Amino acid sequence: MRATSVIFRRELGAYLRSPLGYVVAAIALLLDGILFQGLALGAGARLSATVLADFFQFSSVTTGIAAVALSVRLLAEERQAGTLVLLNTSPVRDSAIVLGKFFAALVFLAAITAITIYMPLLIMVNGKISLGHVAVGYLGLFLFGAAALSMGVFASSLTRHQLIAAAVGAALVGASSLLFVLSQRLNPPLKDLFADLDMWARHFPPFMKGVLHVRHVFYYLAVTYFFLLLSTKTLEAKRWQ
Amino acid sequence: MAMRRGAPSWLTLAFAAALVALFLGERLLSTIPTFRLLFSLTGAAVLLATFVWRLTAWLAAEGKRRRVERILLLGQLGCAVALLVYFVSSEEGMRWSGLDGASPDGTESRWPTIAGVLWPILLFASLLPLLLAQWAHGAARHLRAGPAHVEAFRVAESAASGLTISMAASALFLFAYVTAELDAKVDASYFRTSMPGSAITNMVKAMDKKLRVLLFFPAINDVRDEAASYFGELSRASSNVQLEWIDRVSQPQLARKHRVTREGTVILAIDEQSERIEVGDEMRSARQTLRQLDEKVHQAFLKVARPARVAYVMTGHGELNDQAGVQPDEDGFGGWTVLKQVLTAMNYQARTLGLAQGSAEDVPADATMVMVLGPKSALLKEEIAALDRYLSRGGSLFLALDPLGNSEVGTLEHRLGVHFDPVWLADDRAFVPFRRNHDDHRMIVTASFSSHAAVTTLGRGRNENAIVVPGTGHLTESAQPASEKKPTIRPTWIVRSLASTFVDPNANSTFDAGEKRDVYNLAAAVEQQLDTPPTLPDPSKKDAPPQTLRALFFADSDMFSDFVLAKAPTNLALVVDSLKWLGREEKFAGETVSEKDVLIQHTQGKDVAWFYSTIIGAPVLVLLVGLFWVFRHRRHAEGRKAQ
Repeated sequence: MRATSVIFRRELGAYLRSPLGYVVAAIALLLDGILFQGLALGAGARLSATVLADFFQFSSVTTGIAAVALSVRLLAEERQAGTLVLLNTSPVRDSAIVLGKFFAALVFLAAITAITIYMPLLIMVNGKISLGHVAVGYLGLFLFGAAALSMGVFASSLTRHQLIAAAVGAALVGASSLLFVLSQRLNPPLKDLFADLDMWARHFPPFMKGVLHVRHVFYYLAVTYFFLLLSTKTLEAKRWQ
Repeated sequence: MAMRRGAPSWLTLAFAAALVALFLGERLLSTIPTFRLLFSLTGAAVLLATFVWRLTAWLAAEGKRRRVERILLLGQLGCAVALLVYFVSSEEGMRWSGLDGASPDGTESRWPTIAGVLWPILLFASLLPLLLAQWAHGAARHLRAGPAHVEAFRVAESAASGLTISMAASALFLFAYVTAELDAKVDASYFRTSMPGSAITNMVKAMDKKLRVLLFFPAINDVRDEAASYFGELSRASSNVQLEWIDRVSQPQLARKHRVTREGTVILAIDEQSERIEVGDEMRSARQTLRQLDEKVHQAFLKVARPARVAYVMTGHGELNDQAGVQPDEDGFGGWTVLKQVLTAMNYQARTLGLAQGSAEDVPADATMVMVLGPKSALLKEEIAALDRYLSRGGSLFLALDPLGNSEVGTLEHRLGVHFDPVWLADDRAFVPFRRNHDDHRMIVTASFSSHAAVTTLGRGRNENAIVVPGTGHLTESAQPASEKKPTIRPTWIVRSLASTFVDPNANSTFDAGEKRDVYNLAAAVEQQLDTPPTLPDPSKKDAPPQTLRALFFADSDMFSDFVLAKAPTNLALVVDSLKWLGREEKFAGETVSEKDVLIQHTQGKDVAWFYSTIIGAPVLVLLVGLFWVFRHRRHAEGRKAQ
């Protein structure tokens, strides 16, 4: 645990002390604002609950993009700079490395997501939405972001090139969010399997509407755990290369 | 220790290809017998061959090599067992193995379900370690790794990793299935039961009879608790409200009397008159009704407190309600469905008044009010004369004209003391962005109301009570003829424009030189003592005859069209209070409380504020704060270095 917290503090400090993190945050907020103003609010009058649900829908896209952007450098940069050898030769387990870096990126991503709270609060001024709805929606964004981040960490563990890691991470997140579309072309039982594996269409919409299902929470936690496990195993395998 | 050469590395690939062939033959090509046979037999043959070869290699190997071959053999064996389980779980396999019958206790066999879960887990838990082990083994041979124990250790570690991953994935799948079956949920979306509004509260306070509220709910029920909070509040507002909680089972006679057949029914009763509200006793289905409970109680109360009244709506001149002419005008506004629903909710029967119904002769005696909603062609002189006579005997008139329609009202102008100027008004500062072009300047917004009873709800002075007035003219006092010896009629201007509004004679929706910004009158209320008030009360009518005429004159009819009323609840509030005043029920004016979701629509001014804050404000702020923090930190670091 101590090793994890040391790595966590170091990585979080790196995000806070480098311009990259703030640039990613500003771009994410800009995209959120444009989508909120242009699509969620729209041209005509819309029900406040619909505006809030659309806000969470568009925010999930920017959260996914931000998660991949924040995660690509976590392991790939270390390998490229040669500092991963230092970590590997220190008495730190691979799982501690992965967890420490993941949690640092997650905290930063959560902070970026939390800053967007002013948009739902603007809706609350004239609309009829509950704080519970807002809280559940943000929980959904947090869980979706964590899952996307874990995929990005895994992609980062595969290669030393950050660009390739970004492409692989984006492909993983994109493909897993489109499995539902693919499932419509298949027959049971693959149809149900692919639909249930989809990271967005099956599991995210209830969060948008303020309804918290235990099974969807478990799904995102399971995806996050699985890809972190893959990242750890990949790091272990790379020790022998 | 010396090692014999083991099986070639492509053996595992061949094994995997055989699995794929089997899958293709059994799942995808099963409907084509030839292909099924070809792929399945080939796959099975290759599987068997690779297994035998691997077994032979293991038996022949020595030392660490044997350990590697054992790991690969176990992987292949696991896959074979998985295929066996799959085969036994199929229909043919069940018949062959005798497992297709019922269980000893007579229930349906669970073997197909168990096998259906078991074989994918076994296959995954065998194939992944096999592939990873082979990959590690092949990589080591390619790199000509050093001491043999490193190679065997790497293979074992890779296989263990594969096993860990596959077992983790399988466990997660199973847990996901269990949580889906036992799914618990919490609905945190907005829900609140509406509370009694000022309208119903004023009505029950003004009653001179008792209102019995019979609530048929189970003793312990969450919908009952919500209904209790509403009606408890109402009964505290007035001692005229008497609540009775009825158990339908223990008091069946009462339930039968009021024809109550299910729980969650509320009956409002005054004397022998009663009206029902179906709420339901399941929260999931009752939510929607509970959010609008005040509106429902308001409507039911109006029906039970007084008999239905009649509102005549003129037709035949292209009005909003004119079926022949009910096409949206050039601005896209038309229809009166929402307005009709409001009349029905207020316990009015809406009847048409055209030439066929005698509009040119006289307004029927049972008319509580007459409505004229934006005629496009001129009213006949006879119709105007009929309306004039109706007003002279204490009638109520709702008159809405429109710049796009015909503005000739003849003698009514003098009767009411109001002149309609059909020249467009526009406002380039307070308008609703609709089409996102200059024409939106005609969709003016105003929150300027008097304290007249016809605008009770809107006149409470809050900014969000602004109404939308699309495409309006304006009203002025009409010049009285010199020969008239009657007292001058002074209309009350109940709705006025904002000071940024201007008259737009060239209809270009732009403020040009020479055009004047000012406050213009958009609606007038007229109440005038009758010349010859009726002195003998009509014994057939319970209410005393009116002593005054009442009229509301609007400079726009589109503000009452379906499109506007559906999207602007404030316009709806104006209609309700106007109808209450015309119906001489202004003491019941007030708002109904609804927890229904509301529409968000901003004026241009608000849009600009939202636009800049959401798109530019927040990102720039974050970037500036972040960069400041970064450079501050770097300066500190450089300062420490210099020391």
